[in-house]
Amino acid sequence: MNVLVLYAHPVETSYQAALHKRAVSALTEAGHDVDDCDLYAEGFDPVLGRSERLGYHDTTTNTAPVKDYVERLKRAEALVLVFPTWYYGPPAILKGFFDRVLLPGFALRLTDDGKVEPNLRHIRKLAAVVTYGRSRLASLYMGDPPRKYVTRYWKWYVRRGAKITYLAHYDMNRSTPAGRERFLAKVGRELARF
Amino acid sequence: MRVLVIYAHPVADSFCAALHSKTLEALGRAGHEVRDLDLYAIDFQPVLTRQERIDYDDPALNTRNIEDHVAHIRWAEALLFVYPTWWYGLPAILKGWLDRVWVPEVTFHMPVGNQPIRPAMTHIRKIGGISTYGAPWWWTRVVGDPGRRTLMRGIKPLCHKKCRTLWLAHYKMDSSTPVSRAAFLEKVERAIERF
Repeated sequence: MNVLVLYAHPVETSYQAALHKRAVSALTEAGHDVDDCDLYAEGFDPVLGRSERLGYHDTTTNTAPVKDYVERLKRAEALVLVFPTWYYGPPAILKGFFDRVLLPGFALRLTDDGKVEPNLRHIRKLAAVVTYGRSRLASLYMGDPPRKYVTRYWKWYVRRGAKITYLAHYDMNRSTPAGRERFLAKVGRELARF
Repeated sequence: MRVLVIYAHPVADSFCAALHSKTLEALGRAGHEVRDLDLYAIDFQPVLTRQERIDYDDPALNTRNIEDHVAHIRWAEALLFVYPTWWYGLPAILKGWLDRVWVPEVTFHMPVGNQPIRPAMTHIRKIGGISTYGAPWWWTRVVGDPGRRTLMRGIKPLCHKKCRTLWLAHYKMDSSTPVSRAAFLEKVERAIERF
């Protein structure tokens, strides 16, 4: 399967980087064709600028500034997001990927009567590997935006009934080496049979 | 009151820009002292860099690149956010403002042992948000309204114990009408005059 991995963390020695590495190697060993998109390494600019905003609804030209990313998403049959939770949400570089790349005409269609329809039905599997500083309970009170982004919002775009695997490590502020090791192993296991 | 307005929209003649101007006028009329932080206009760079991430927990280093912004936060008694909701959340430029500027010891104290995070912005007594949504309100609720919750529930515990909040939203912008937009502008004006 063609798997697009979207990864967002700036430090190569971080725990998140270890999770990313484990995810990619598990997917590759399972025989998938992995497109590893490291947003920091690729220098992705997350700011939706003035001209892009003005041309946002023009479906003949709006994908031009992010053409490569659009092509990579089109090729993907599965999507794996790997990111830390910063201030209750995905890092700006990943949030900006949603802002700039999930465009009308490509990721969704606006119908004549103003309705919005999803358009990434070619993606039939979805996974996320997410870390949180806070506990599950504190995140729940906040509405757990990263979880909802994946299990409700991304879910809406992709094929109906797509398998969704959400792997979360909460409470990183107080995590232990053993807990982190267990979660790493879990990520490897889950993605090996993805 | 000293009000810091944080604004994020790239287009000068957008509806969001109109909300922003209306907000500034209303605050001025009500006699508030205002600082206007227009993130697009100052070309704010929202990506927390490698070095910033490494220095994040060190109060001696973590404000090096963001001194101006830290000064704004310390000056303010109220925060007022004006932005469009994109994909249920904050535009990346605003999300990155939180990622980069809201560092430990400026906005919160990192937990020691089993203690929870403690607030560091106890001088802030009011936070408000004005936003536009493409989605209808019910679907926004289903997705959990991450933008609003990040600001209203996430920031509030970092502020004064009696910090109050105000939230004003226009949903379904794609099918909005001149009438609905004018009504919302008026609502914003009235609410901000009393802010």
